[in-house]
Amino acid sequence: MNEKFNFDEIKKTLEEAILQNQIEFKAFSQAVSSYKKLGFELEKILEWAANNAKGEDKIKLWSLYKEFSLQNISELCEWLRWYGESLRKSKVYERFFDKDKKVPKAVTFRILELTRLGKREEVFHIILREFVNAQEEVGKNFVKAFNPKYSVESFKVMVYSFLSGLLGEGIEKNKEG
Amino acid sequence: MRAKFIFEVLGKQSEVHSLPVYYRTIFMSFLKRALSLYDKNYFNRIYWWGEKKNKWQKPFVFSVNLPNMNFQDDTVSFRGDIMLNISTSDYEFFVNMYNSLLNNRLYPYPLTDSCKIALKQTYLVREPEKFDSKMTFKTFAPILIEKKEGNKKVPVLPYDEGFEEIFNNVVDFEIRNIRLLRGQNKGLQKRLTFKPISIQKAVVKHRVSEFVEKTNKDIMFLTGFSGLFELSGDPEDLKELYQNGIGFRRGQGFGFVEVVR
Repeated sequence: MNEKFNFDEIKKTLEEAILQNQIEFKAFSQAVSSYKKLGFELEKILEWAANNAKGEDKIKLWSLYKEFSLQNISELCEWLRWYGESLRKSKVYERFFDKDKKVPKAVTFRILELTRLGKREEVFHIILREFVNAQEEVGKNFVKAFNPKYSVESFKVMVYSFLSGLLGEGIEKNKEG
Repeated sequence: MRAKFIFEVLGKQSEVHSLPVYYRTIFMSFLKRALSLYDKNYFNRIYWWGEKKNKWQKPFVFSVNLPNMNFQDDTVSFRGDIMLNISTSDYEFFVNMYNSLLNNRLYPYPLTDSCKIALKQTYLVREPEKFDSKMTFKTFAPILIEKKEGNKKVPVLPYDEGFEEIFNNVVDFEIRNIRLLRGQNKGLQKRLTFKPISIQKAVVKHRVSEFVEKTNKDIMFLTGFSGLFELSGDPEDLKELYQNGIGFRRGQGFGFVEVVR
């Protein structure tokens, strides 16, 4: 992880960049990415602490962990939706959507059904297979959606988020808007 | 999950290519190079523990298939495309490794001065839908099982006395370590029964930098076994072994098994 994450230092660097009118997207994007990574690491530590704590602290830590974890899931869903959208111009999109007939391909319906049944391993395998067949890289965060520590309900929401980004009409609507 | 990566050797297709006999080490370096080039942090997490080498069990196994291979002294010659099989139970490892090997910046990759490769094709392998409590496996790469005798490690083969006991200890340690990586402290759920069907002893020439530094010898000899055998135990454990390989040095190209259907 990010052993060198120092929020004060990052904040100072970014503020200085703004003041000196040297705003670079990359620096801000890196800061956000580091912040998110830190969030997931903190979530792991909270889970560990909640597992090992005793008495009232255990209850409080579990509640804090759940609250924090849900926030992370929500951010992950946002990322998955964005990631799905970002794949629309890639070969992966054509594996899931028939452009000529303008309908999702059979594999998409299979994923939806397996997701409904909560079959993480099968869903991961099918999606991965389509990436491999399209010879496209897989987003690093994508794996997080299949982490067994998340409940089946959370898993479903995350896969639906990815598919809605990939197959939904967000981009066109945004353009119109 | 497991995948096959097919590499073409750059040059004439009909040409006979050659690699050193310790070709597994060369592919191990290749995988490490690919991973470190793609994501240095992840690479360090798997292979390093601060300044020291990370000796923790690796959550994967690989095997190399060289077509029409022929051993001559300390080289192996072959003709055609190289097939690299990678198998793991770890999603994150798989995605990182897959992305690493897809990376165009890596190719042409020089395995040796005279043998450069490029990725030709990749595909996911369909895994058995169900694992039973008794399954037959065949090896794609020799399995190494060893026991400690004083400071020495001594190879143990299926027909040796006490093999099953040692086999269970080695595999229990392996599975527990791999499961710990995903937060589960759980070894073998049921003792395994090993039944050899057609097993041969295999002596393999191998090379690791530590051995070279310690002994000043270039090549080490490892004794293991390959062939067909039946394993009985908990289906979940058998699946874990199928996905991550069996025995020692799995991250160095040993212990890759396939289910016989």
